[in-house]
Amino acid sequence: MKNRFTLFFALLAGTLILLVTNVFVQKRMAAIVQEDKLVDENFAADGTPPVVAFSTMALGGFRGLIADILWIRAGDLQQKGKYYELVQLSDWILKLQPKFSAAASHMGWNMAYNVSVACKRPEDRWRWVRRGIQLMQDAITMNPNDPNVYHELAWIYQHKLGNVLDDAQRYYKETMARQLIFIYGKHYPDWEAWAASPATEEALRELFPAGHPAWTAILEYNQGDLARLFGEFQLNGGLPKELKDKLSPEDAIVLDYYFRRKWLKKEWNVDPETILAVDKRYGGLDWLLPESYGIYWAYVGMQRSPGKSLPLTRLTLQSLVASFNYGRMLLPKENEISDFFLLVPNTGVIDAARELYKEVLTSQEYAHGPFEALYENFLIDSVVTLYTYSQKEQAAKLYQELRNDTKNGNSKKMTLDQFVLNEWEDDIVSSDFKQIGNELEGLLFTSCLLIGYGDRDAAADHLALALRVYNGYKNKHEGYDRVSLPPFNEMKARTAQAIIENYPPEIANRLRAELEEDLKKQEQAAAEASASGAGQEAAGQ
Amino acid sequence: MTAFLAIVKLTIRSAVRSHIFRLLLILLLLSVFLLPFTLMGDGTPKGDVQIFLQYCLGFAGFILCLSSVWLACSEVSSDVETAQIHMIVVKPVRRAVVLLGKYTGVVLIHLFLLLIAATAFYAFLSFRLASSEFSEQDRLLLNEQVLTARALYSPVRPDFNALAQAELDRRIKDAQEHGQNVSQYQDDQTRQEAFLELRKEMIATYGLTSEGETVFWQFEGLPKDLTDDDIVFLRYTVYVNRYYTQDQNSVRGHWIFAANYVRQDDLGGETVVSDLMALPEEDILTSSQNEMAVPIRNSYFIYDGKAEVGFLNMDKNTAELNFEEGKGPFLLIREAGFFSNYCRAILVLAIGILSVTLLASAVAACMSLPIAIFFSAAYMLVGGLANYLVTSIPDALDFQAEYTGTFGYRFGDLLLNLIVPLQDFFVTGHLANGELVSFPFIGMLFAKDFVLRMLPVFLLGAWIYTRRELALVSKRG
Repeated sequence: MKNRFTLFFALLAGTLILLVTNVFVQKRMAAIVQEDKLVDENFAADGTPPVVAFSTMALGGFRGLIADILWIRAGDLQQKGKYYELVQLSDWILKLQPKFSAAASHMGWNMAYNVSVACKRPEDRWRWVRRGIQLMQDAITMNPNDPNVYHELAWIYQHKLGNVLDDAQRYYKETMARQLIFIYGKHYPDWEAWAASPATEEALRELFPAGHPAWTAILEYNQGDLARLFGEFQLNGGLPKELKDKLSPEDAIVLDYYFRRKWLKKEWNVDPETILAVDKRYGGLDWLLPESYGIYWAYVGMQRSPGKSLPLTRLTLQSLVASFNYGRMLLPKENEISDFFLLVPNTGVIDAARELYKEVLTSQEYAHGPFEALYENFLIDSVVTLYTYSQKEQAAKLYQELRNDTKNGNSKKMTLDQFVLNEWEDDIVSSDFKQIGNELEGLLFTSCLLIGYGDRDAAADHLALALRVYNGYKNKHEGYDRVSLPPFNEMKARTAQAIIENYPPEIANRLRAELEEDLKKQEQAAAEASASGAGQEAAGQ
Repeated sequence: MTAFLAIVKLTIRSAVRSHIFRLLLILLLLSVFLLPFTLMGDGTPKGDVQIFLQYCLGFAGFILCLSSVWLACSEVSSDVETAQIHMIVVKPVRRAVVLLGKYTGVVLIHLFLLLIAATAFYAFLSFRLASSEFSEQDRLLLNEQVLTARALYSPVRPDFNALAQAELDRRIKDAQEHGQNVSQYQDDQTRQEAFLELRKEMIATYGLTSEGETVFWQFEGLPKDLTDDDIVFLRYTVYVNRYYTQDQNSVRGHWIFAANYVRQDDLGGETVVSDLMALPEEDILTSSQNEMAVPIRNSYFIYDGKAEVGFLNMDKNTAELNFEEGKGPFLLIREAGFFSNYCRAILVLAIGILSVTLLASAVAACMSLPIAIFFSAAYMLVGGLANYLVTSIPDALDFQAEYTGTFGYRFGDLLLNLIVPLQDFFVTGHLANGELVSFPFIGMLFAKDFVLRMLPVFLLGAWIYTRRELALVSKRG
């Protein structure tokens, strides 16, 4: 009997000890789950998406088997070149296996890369790239802490859309910009104002409570049906005039921003707050361009998975360099996208890129990477570009940094002017007749186009550089008629004429006006010169 | 006849009361009313219509097949298990008539549901087509490639056996003439192996073309009454080397059409002129199904129901282009309208329902309800698996093929000869691709699957049913 009691109390004590220990262990486990983001916060907040919850509950272990069958079917159909089922199959696979992010990444990449190039028409290609992007966005919703999904999505933006490897790349950029500007309303939206606008319907209703003139106007317009109003907004790209007239200008702006941010979230899954944060971190990006979206998703990925973001840092760097080279879109007519857009360097991201390079160079993870050489090349390119785009002060600062901070910096003893010309001369020395002709035409073409797009300073710098390249080549090949270039002014006039004939009237007119002004100045200078010559002759006589 | 009709009527009434049948009916209604709105195509009108046809009809057909299996099993076996059958068999009705009556009842109710579903889908599709604003190009693509019924013509397959035999004989003769020892070929097995190796090589290199080379395909049996207004399509898939390699890319080449046409000569006679017409060189994506309207007048290109198509490989960067055996090129010629094809696809689904109900009735005639359902479902599953085994093992019959691969292939082949795969009745893929579901095909399907495979099983089931000691089952229950 005594033994029985002893055993009972021993078991009871053991149970109690285990329970107490469990409390501490449980706390620690919960902390680990929280720290390592083992549970997706947005799932915890919003609950699992209904379709995913349904498929998980209803199909149980069979959903893996069904996903396998769908995967085999998708592969089989793709092999036969039948793609029309792919979107549906990929969607089902993602819903059946929402946490299998590698599968989602593969499917998104497959649609954006493999299936798109199987289409001949650029609009069909674009459709598949968009489908790939949308699938990746869905995959991010299901796996918000997985850096790989962010990486794949950012890569599609930076490499597939931003790069020039696809025949339809200009079409992609143009279509993306066209769709985005329709949502933004203008090329450079006021992101701060967007971020300050209500993000949810509840927030809007708080701002416009019952009895508020704006809400009364909405009630009068369509009985307060915000969903229908949103539909109209998307159709028109703005508030219906009838409603706008009834609202005060301030309320109209609030409502406009509310719908625009909702629309942007729905179509591209991005928030103005994050855009603002990215802009603050990396400099002012042009949000019509894919590189900016690449940076956005890499940024979000890094925020979501600290400590696991090595590939994302690399991708951000690549995207920043790409953005520096071609990260600003010039449009013939303000806020109107046309296929005559011109991509020029975005010098605003130089500082961010430099900082990231420095961060990378000092980090242990990249100790043995090629980043030192890449950084030096980046600085050289930055100096030349800044110099060519009328930012000589900034160029001088960077040149100093190049000389002080890089391995081969000490060898650069030239002045800034000499250095930039030397960089160009390197090209001239190594170029043959045909190449130099192309390079000169490129510089002249950019110069004339910049005039057409209204950037006179950059145009003048390009022209000056073209003249220096021209003179450098001419001096080097003095006396060789076979490889002599036509007169500089003739080359310039020919290039300008080509642009006037082929580009939209806005660009052509601006260029023509500039050329006429130039001609007048030249005639005036010639007249002044002949007048002063005649005066001198008269004085001599 | 009265007894038969009474059983049919009772079966239908009992079916409508079944909970499982109601559940499946709800699923069917969901597929009719919800599925069309939830499906996602590739975003093109053509893709959207294709996926609609493929999935909506496919899903409805699948639900109806499942439902018919359930009901047939339930109606036939539950009567025996609940001893209700004694009420019938004591009357002057033959058991075979009872079984046939139940079968007919189940079939009728499902054919009626199929008709309703098919009508609803067709109405929905018509409404969608009428209410959508497509671009001219999209509408043309849709009309020419989906909302049509085009017969698929394959090129004449060379007699690889005869060619391989002739080549082997030639090589042996050559070797003999050069004084080489050919005694090993006197052994039948060695000779057979050499023959098979040669045959395999010929099949593998049949559609292979190197840079600057042209490969031709002959087509026969094309319609002779084609006018120049009829559009002939060329469908093909080309690969760089084999389809599974990573070398796939964009390549360049010309399509060439041999023209044989009748020309009136000066004396009023007729001469057949032969000529070659090459299309401009173009970029072609490999490993992707390509389709184009042949831009040459049919009267030039098709003569006496025959045509010849060639491809000139102009790609400088690629070693060899491969038009694999069985993957085209094909000629597609419109032979009927979409509605007619739609009805034919529904007819094939109806044959499917007739067949699986036949199977389920036969099985239920000799087994209990759960076992009958399990057996029927397993039968359908194994049919699908067999098809997968046969189609998914490439080169299974090679000498070098792995033993397991060859076994899997042979086993699948055997199963396919014994079992009717359910997917035989789902021709929605043909319908979605605008391919004709021809009457000879439907007739063959009916004869092969329904008459030759399912009917004997049903007759066997009916025979067992007539011989079965039903009282014992009731007693056990």
